[in-house]
Amino acid sequence: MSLINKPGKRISIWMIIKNELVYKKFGFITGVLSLVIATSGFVGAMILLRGDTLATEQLFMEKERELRAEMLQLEDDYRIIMRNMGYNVLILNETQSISELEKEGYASTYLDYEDVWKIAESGMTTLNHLLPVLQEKIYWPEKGMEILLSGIRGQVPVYSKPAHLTDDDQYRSPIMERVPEGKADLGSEVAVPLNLRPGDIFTIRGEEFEVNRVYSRRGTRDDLSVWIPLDKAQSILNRPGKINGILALECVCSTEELGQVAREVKEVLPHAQVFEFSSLIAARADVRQRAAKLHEEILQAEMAHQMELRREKERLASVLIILLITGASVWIFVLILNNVRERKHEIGILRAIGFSRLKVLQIFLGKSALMGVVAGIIGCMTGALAGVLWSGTGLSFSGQGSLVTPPVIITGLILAPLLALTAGLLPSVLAANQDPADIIGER
Amino acid sequence: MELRINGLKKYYRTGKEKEVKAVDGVSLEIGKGELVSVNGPSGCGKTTLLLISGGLMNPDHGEVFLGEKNLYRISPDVRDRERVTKVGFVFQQFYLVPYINILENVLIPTIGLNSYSASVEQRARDLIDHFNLSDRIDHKPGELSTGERQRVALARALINRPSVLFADEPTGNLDDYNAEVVLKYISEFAADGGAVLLVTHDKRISRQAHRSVRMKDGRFVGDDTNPVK
Ligand SMILES: Nc1ncnc2c1ncn2[C@@H]1O[C@H](COP(=O)(O)OP(=O)(O)OP(=O)(O)O)[C@@H](O)[C@H]1O
Ligand SMILES: [Mg+2]
Repeated sequence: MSLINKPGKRISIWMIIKNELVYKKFGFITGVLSLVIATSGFVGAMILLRGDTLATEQLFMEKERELRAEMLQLEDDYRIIMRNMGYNVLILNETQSISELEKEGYASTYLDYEDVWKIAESGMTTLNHLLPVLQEKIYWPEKGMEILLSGIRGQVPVYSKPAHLTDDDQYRSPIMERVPEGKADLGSEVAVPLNLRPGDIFTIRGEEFEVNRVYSRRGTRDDLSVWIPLDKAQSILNRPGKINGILALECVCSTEELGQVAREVKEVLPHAQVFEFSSLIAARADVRQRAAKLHEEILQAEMAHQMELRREKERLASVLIILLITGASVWIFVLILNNVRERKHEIGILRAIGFSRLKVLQIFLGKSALMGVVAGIIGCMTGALAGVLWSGTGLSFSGQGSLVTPPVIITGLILAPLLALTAGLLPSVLAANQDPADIIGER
Repeated sequence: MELRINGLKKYYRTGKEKEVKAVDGVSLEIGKGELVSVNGPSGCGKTTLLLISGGLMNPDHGEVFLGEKNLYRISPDVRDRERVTKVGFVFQQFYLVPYINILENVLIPTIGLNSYSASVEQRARDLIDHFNLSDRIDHKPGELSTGERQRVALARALINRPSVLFADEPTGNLDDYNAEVVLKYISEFAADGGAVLLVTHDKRISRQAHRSVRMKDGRFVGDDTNPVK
């Protein structure tokens, strides 16, 4: 009551609105209630949809991780298979004719032994398991037969692939084992006819070797081979410091990369050429690509399924929201219209004794807006709470903070007053346009 | 002259050809301190005359001068303003606003005023006091008797110090005692220099008026000037 003597505080639009609300609580409460239901329906639905989005994203991340792990496993399996299939690349002197190589089974031109180290130390990652060889078909005078004499040392460590190496730079599982000093490994076509067994001693052009291993029949040129340490081969063949090929394993991840190795080797060894047993490489790349494509297809299918579900939910939510909004709008419209009708005489007299049209409009729009603001606040709170509680069950991935986003709350806070004002506009205009004389002159 | 009415006509068109001549050529002048009563049978056009005179309804013909202003030659907004500052209304149905108290009801006509001061509120209290309603000042209209309600309506009509008071059957809902009281206050307003147009079909009330006009079918059919004095 301290306001009593303050000028201008006694009669105001706000005071009229407030007192009328208190006087006619039912209309106000049901109006607010209908708007609260609409607003909380909207906010709740948005939160549920967002929770759904987060859950779906989570699902996808897991699926993707799973598939990636499977891909890696597949990749590893193929790497091992490829390794077991042997070398797929042969680096030769640039001048080497391939047709002659095919005819003779070995190269007739040479590389320096140092060249293999240049590649090993170049940092190239596309090649692995480098094996320098010196190979020539010779007549074995002691036994009176032709053999493929192959001088090898162990695989040269490629330092850019440390995972394949032991602490002392040896390959953990080389494709071709080294031949120990003074020993020789024999192909089956050599060992069986000569009846040579591990531990037996023989000579090649006067050089003495002990049989280290006898390989079982492979059905390739290897069956005719005698493997001895590289330096021995160099001296027997009189090619000191020379090799005539570098065998290697190319790791190709896609068919597009075919040919890349050739370019990279060219950069390190301009005088070399690369001969790829490309069908092997292509097969591997192909398998890899097929797996990647399958992976992609699985994800796509899952994504499409989720999108369909999502659209379904969104349709449902929008139907619900539209129903609630329509219901609330109709109710507010009826409520305000009824209020205007009930207060016909009041409006008439207010207009007759001092209220302008604008003030009458303000009274009814103000009442609508007030319902909207109150309902917006309550509706956002109840909607957010319901949404979080509902979607929270079984979802442990996310805090409540990220489910309730500012845009949804702001929209909710604006939605209710906007709805109330829109629905209340027509009845309010009708009220403002009532002719006081009509009402007062009425009998 | 506070109020000058000249050749007023108002015909209501109800049906296609039906026409009600509610006011059919009426002229009247009311000066300061004058109380004019208009009586006549129900439906003779009294309320219509009052609404037009008070600036609430456009006539079909004629003019209404409120002081110097020709009411229906000025814009509706200016007319509204003239009405609020220069005119007070009292009706048979008191038309009080039910959800605000007596003081606030009396102050309603001040809402549109540019200058609202503590003195306006003091005037409202004084009026309420004068009409013997001080102990009811915080009450809502629903808690008052009909006589008290009409006194509140009268206080509301007088809050802006109007020059003309229009009263349409102000005693129609009151018993004899309360009718007397309200009429006494209305006479008082005239005695203080106000102009009053009092509409009634109660001939007894006419005795209190300086001039009493009888109306029939929208026309003045009889005139008793100063029947008392
Ligand atoms: N809005 C209207 N439309 C049509 N006719 C009307 C309207 N208002 C009044 N009338 C008619 O005009 C005539 C005069 O009406 P008015 O209300 O002025 O009479 P009145 O003298 O005040 O009657 P009462 O003593 O019953 O109050 C009546 O016949 C009435 O039916
Ligand atoms: Mg009447």
